[in-house]
Amino acid sequence: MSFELFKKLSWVLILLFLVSLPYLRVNIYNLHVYTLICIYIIISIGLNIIFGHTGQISLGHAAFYAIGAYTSALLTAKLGFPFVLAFFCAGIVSLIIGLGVGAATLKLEGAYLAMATIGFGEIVRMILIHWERMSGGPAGISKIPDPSFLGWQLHSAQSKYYLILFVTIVAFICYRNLMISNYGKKFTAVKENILAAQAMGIDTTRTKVIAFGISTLYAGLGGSLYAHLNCYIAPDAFPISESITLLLIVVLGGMGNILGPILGSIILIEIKESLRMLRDYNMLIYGFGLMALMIFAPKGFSGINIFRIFKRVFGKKI
Amino acid sequence: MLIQVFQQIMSGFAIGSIYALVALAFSLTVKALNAINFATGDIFMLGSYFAITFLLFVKIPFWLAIPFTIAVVSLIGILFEKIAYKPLYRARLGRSEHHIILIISTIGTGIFLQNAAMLIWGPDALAFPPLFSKEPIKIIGMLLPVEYVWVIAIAIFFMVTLHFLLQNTKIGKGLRAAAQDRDTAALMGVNLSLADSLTFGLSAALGAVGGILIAPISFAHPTMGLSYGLKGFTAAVIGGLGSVRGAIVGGILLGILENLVTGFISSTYKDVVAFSILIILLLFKPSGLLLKPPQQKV
Repeated sequence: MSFELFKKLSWVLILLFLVSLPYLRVNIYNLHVYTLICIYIIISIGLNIIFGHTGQISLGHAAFYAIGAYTSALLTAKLGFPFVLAFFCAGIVSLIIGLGVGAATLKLEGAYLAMATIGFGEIVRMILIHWERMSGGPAGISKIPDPSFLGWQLHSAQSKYYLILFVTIVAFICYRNLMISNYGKKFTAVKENILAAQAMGIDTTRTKVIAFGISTLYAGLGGSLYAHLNCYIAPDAFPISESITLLLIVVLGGMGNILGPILGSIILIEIKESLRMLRDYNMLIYGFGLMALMIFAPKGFSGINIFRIFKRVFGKKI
Repeated sequence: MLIQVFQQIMSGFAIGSIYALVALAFSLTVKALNAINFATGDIFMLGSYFAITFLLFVKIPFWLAIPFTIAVVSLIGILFEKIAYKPLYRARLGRSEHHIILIISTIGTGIFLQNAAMLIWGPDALAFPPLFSKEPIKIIGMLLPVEYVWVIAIAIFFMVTLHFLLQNTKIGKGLRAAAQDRDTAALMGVNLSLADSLTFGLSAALGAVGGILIAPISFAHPTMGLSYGLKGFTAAVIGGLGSVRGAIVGGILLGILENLVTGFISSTYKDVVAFSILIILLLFKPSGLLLKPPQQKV
């Protein structure tokens, strides 16, 4: 059995496992957590594109997540748009705002960029809280319709899981193809050495803005799915700590690692769920863990390539 | 009308001097170690809470509570440097990676402090006992709350103390030398490890003073750090990050501007205005209003 075949086979097995998951664990709450993990995977793929691959930090991604969620919610709940159209509109609105913000802020570097994006995130949150006629204020928007697809109303937890799983897989394949394309190489060049990239004739500003745009597109699409998963959104769901969580997912999974967002989302969301038992101490330990992680394992799980490990362990004989 | 404008400017000056203290807290670590401490806002919050604790629960007079609070919070700042900063500085990492890791580590510490405060003092806002008479005093036709006058006086006192400490004492000279050129300073006999600890301690002390001063004006709550931290950073950027004079000017400018927006436009969007200023300034004049733009080296 060649290595390539093994690779394909393991993907098929993983896919089979994911599809049969609702039947293995019937607990509705767990299924909800898995669906949330899928949404986090989509958004953190976006963040990995700009932060992991292109090396530009963004601490305002929760704002784009919120923009996607609110766009989709307003279009379906107030204007009666069908779900599929609202889903793509959410992505496009987020993309357009992201291109604008990116074009403006990506001149900055490091901590300055971090602060500018935090500022943007706070501005969006303030607007969502105070512009009550549009956003419903602190109470948020309720009665968001369930997603519908070709005439099917998806309101059971299973059907939503399948829908979001499908979107996640498509999003991941697009991401992988983007990264092995010319553009992916350009992103890496900008991250590794911006001067060398310029010398090679790469328009670095444009590349950064495109990477930021794509990453906000992902965040907007994820936001739309989140709105229709819970059928209720409020500004509380998109605080700055959400941006930090996303950043942490990318660091944990390994910055610039294609499988990173998947690994990071699964690990971090499961950790957060298991810390939930500790109630008040939950965020305390989370904050401390963040600090300890940076001291002891500053590179997260990067460099862990499952296939390479298999290859090393089993040689080429499998 | 003119009186009203002046009144807004004066109360803006009071709030602004608090922002200036936070901005100084940011500037010190940036100047000395090129490190932006994202937990500065939360240290500010601790200042507020410790002041309330000393006044309400330990029941000591206000003038004693200030040095006690500063001492406790500075110790926390030094501990912070030992635990969360130094191990990172030692780790051999690339420059860009070091920045990102420092950002996440200090954010993690911020979350930790925030939630520790929530556990110790509860999630609800705590009010500061009224210290000064509610009767406003009259200066050239303007009515000013007595608190504001005190806030300005105490803030200026600490700024002058800091200036004296940095310019005229041996410790200050050592700190400035370490900020300018670490290696040469070490050769001249400056204890770098001590200098780093002192920088963080001083930065925490300034944050604590800000926290003490904001407590009588507004409530203390565990999540107040983010908003004041961002404002302080904005102030530091307005004046030029890393400059002591810039931080003071920037803080006062931001406070006055914010109060004018609150007084004449609307109070709901004052934070939006402040953060928009931050973004616009970062875009067009990231070196601040007072500093010359740095020469970029290849």
